[in-house]
Amino acid sequence: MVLKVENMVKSFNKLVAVNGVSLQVKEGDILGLLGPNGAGKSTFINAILGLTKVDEGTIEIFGNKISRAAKKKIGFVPQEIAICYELNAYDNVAFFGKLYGLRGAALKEAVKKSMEFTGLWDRRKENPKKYSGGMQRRLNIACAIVHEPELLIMDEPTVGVDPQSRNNILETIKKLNENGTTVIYTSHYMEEIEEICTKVAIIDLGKLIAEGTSDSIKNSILTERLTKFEVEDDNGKCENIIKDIEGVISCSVNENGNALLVKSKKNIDNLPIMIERLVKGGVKIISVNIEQPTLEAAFLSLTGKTLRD
Amino acid sequence: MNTLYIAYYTIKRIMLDKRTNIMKILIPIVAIVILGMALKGSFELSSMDIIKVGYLNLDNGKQGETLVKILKEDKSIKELISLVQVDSVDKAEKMISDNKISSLIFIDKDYTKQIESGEKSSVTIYSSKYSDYKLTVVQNIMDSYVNIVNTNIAVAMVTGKPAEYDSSSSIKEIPISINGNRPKAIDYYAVTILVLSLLSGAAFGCELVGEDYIGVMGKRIKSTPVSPVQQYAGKMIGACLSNFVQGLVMVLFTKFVLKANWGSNIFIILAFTLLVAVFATAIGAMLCIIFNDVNRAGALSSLLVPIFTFIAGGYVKIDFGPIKYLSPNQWAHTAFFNTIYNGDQHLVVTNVLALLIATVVISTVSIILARRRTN
Repeated sequence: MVLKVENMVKSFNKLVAVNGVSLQVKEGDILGLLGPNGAGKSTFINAILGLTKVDEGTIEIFGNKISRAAKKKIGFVPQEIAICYELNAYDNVAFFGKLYGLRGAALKEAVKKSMEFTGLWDRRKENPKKYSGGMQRRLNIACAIVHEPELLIMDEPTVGVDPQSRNNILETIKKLNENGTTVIYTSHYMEEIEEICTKVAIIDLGKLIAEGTSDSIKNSILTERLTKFEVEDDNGKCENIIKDIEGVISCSVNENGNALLVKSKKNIDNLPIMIERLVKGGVKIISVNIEQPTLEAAFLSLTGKTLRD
Repeated sequence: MNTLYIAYYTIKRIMLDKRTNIMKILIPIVAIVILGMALKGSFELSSMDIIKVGYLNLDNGKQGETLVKILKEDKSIKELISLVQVDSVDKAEKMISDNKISSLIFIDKDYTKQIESGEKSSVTIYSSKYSDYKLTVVQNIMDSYVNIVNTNIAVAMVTGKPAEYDSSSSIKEIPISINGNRPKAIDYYAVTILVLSLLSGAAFGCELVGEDYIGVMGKRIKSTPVSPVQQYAGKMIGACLSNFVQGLVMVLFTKFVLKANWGSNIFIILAFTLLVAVFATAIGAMLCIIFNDVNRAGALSSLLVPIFTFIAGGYVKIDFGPIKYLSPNQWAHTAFFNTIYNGDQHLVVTNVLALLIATVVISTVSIILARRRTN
């Protein structure tokens, strides 16, 4: 087990930032940590990194309490870009490499590897001030992976990044994971979480409210399915045909009369019956689209707010 | 080793900021030159001109004549005043108004008669109320003369014969600086502006320690296997050395280019420079750690340093009495000046110890707070 958190509680005066969170991260996982601002994600991460002391509970990293030895195996990418703008990119990465105990040829090799990994090696001698926002983000990551950590904690690493750099960063994370790095990843972007995370944990108001794979969370939370029929002309018939079918919760037609939206219970497979009845009723179906449940919708359902509230 | 790496990269980062470094050295040097030139007069001793003093002797007796003779011929009095005979008090008054004489020594017509009859006699001095020190000089000469006359009379009355005396000097002249040099404005401001610049390093220390302690960089460094003590020590060493280098350049520049007097032992001066640099950086770091806010701590240190400098007479030579000892600038000034001008070595030791102890206390408080903040 890379990380095992049991009943973590942390308060700041009267504010309970983390309230009884228990979580486990196995080797090779990419854990997506989701939560709106103020949910307690940063406090949770700070506690894992040993930057803040918890009031209750236990945290085990690699089977032990956080220690200098454990910190050598952890890489941390803060949300803000934390680099020295007076130093060139190479020196930035080398500085962190030294703090993690790398020396001599091993350091040089590690710096080269991490900069190549993040696509910055060719511009290593440049000052980060000359870098684009995306490149600075990549340098932020290079500093965290120079010592090839077993656990990489990334706090919103793609904020304010152009799509190309975002893809590059996501690809980097996937590659790191393929090479054996366990990742804890927080993001406001659900699609990123869905794309790269093998496991998702949703935190709100300091509590862990859902945990599992993206699909398991969506399936356990979302009880409805939305089906959209594109038809040639409704003529006022569709609603009457559909509404009595088992599992249908509601049915509506748009103003133009060419789209039918049917909300059904998720666990009842009534799509074949709906198609059959519509065809028999003389409705010409152009297309059928079943709206897939999203993590965003699951999050909204769980917390009552969108992720960026 | 982590401490040394943090120190190394701190210095490297500072050195790469050439513009700031140049300004940090250039501005104090310009200030030394400007203050040294502008206030040159306040520090230099000008020779005192011989004071012209009028005299009007209406006495026909020996005593008045003797007094005038002594005032005219005594060697030590001649170095101070030159007598000009006037015809009347009115004329003398006009000459005083026209600055032709500074004052008038008036000997009354009954002067000898009164002395010989044992009556009370007096010599009157007329002067403008704006005569400042010149009147004081004339008064002192006359006081001395009167004392001698009174003594003679007393001796004559007791012994029945005139008093005999030798004239000798009881004043021993010792220069207040080494090599016979007295402090010039440039010497004074080389020290006070150096101390001001070094203490201004408090704001610099605050900024340096703050950026890697409070900010996101601090959070990141704390997530590495670096302990808070290593982190603090590394930043302190880097910041202190860079602050010291600024002081070193200032001392060498003022010594060899501006010819400021730094005394005969430059290494002791540089050791004091290092101590003040460490003290200032430690104060900045402590403020930063206490406030947990670089801007507030920086603003406070930027406010305190000029106040400390002012009450220690760093800008203008004013003595604020005992209150000046509350200023660390005063401790540093005392150590520097007493070393440069071979002053009281006990004062040097006391003030250096004060700086050392304060530095240790401040650093200890900072480290304890830094460790607690982690929790």
